[in-house]
Amino acid sequence: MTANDAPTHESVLQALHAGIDMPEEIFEEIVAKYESLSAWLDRDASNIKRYQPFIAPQGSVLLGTANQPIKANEEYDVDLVCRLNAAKNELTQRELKASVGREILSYAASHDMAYTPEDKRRCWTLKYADDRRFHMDVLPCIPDADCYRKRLVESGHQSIAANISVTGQAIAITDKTDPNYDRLTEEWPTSNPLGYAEWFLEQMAERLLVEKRNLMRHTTIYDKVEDIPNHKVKTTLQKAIQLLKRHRDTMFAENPEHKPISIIINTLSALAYDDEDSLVGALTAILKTMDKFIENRAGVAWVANPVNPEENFADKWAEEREKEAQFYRWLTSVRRDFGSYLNGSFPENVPAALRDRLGKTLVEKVVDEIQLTEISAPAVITSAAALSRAETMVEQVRESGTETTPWCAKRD
Amino acid sequence: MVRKKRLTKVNTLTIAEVERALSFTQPGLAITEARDVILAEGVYIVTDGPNGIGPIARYEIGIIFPKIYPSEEPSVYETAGTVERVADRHMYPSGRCCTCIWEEWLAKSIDTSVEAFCDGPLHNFFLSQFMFDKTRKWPFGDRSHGVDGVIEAIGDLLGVGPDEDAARRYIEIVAAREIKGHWACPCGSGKRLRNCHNDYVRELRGRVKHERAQKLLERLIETKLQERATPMESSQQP
Ligand SMILES: [Zn+2]
Ligand SMILES: [Zn+2]
Repeated sequence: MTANDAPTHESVLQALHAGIDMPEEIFEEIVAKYESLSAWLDRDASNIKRYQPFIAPQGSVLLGTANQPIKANEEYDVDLVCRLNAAKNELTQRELKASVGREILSYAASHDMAYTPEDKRRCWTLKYADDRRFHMDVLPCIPDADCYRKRLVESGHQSIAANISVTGQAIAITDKTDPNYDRLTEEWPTSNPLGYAEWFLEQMAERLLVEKRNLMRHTTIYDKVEDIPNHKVKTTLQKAIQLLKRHRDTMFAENPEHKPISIIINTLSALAYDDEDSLVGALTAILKTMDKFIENRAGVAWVANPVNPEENFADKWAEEREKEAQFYRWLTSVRRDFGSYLNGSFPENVPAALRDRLGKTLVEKVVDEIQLTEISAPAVITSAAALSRAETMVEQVRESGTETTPWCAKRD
Repeated sequence: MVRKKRLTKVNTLTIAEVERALSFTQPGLAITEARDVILAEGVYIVTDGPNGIGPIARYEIGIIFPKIYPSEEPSVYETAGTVERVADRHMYPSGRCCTCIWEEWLAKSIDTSVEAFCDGPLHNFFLSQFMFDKTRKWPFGDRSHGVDGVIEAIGDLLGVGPDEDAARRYIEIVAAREIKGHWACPCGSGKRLRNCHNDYVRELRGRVKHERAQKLLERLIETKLQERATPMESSQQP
């Protein structure tokens, strides 16, 4: 923001987003860490080298929707897939989990890591020393594109099945609670986090390109737009999701077990997003319509996984009505909190409810900076200005053909 | 022949729909459920959206949405008395707001969701009140009170002059389930429909659903009946 710009809702939201976004140096550190792990898994002495282990981020780091933790001592939660080029008839889930685990344990031992990696239900968790600010959940998996495509076709989703960039990345994963955990079988739990990310990118493809072109104008590092990695830019969809997630995280800080899950927020937001060029516009579109994309399938609330519509991201709602109730409680609250600011307040007056949800310290800092650079007098609605704005609104109603005229029947 | 049974879709308005329509754009309204209705109460803002300069005006209001919406219209009240409660301001003494002729809005709108109502008649009413305050003019015009207003509405909707008989004939032919070419043309020429305004009438029927026209016709009849009763009441207080 330059000194002569009056603050706008947009500039305040952008500054708030910048204040919660995961910093670039953390991203670089995460990449360095998983590349180091990847090299270890691929070293000559590795028992899984023959499977050409492949490590990639998934979840919020890949989607570009990762926020800073709320509290200073909290860690970033980094999700990685660790894919081995093996077939289901070669090994059991337990064997896959164990062979990846062996290398992860030896990595930790030889890299002086303070904590022994933990063997969780589906993944291995690597904890770094206390001064590191993140831990990594590594998900062992094998390719599953053919089965995945077959199931999509069988359930009538031919067009998704035909989308190779989405289905080609499907994986079979391990799960300690799966009855087939110890069995050599074709029946594995499946997932497709990288295919989902591909879908997510498609929803904001145009905006991503615009942002990359903008970046090109301000830098000489890249020869062409295609060279710019996705994480170097951020779309209004990603920023809006980050603000929504921050609101959720503070709202549910005391009872996190019922907080709406990120994948539901991401999916509904991406569906509601219509390439809005401003953060205010994106938030408005998302908050006004996101719940329209919750389907009702024979009485069951359904947030379909866009890359596998038979999977319901809201499947827990049917088991625990409280989860559904909490989602709607959050939706009402996040609508009201952002609405009170965007529709009901001046840019420099962030209402208390939103301020508390986004972080009091951050909001006060952003507002202070704005007021320091703000040179005009505090905004006052002059009668003439209000009338001319109202006249513009009248004009807009006429253009949209939605005029209505008051009328009394005379009786009450 | 009991063919006249009207098939109305059973469609219960949910609190989620009202929340979707109002929570973000009108964050000052608290939305609650009370048996057969959904209530929205609090501060209504007239605003052109997030533009850095805040809302234009505020009104204290309450809205009662019947769950059988849109079969039954929502009632809107201005609760603080900011707008003078006189017919010239399209306010009833109770604070109830005459937002529009409900059946006219239904007949001319493709989208009749709660969201469309809030973005349409509700938004227009308070924007109009603000404009009237400043300019003494209704930006979208206003209807004559009582039956004359309904005749104007039918005239505007169907493109006929503000003539009661013509309005009645046109709205009836649009409200009919089916029409026959040998019927008399509603224009009053005395010719058969097929030899006169056949194309025009069919165009109207394509634009306005017959069920919606029927409701507007019923409103016309009802307003007339009410008006007949009113002079007696008012004559008692000369
Ligand atoms: Zn009136
Ligand atoms: Zn005719």
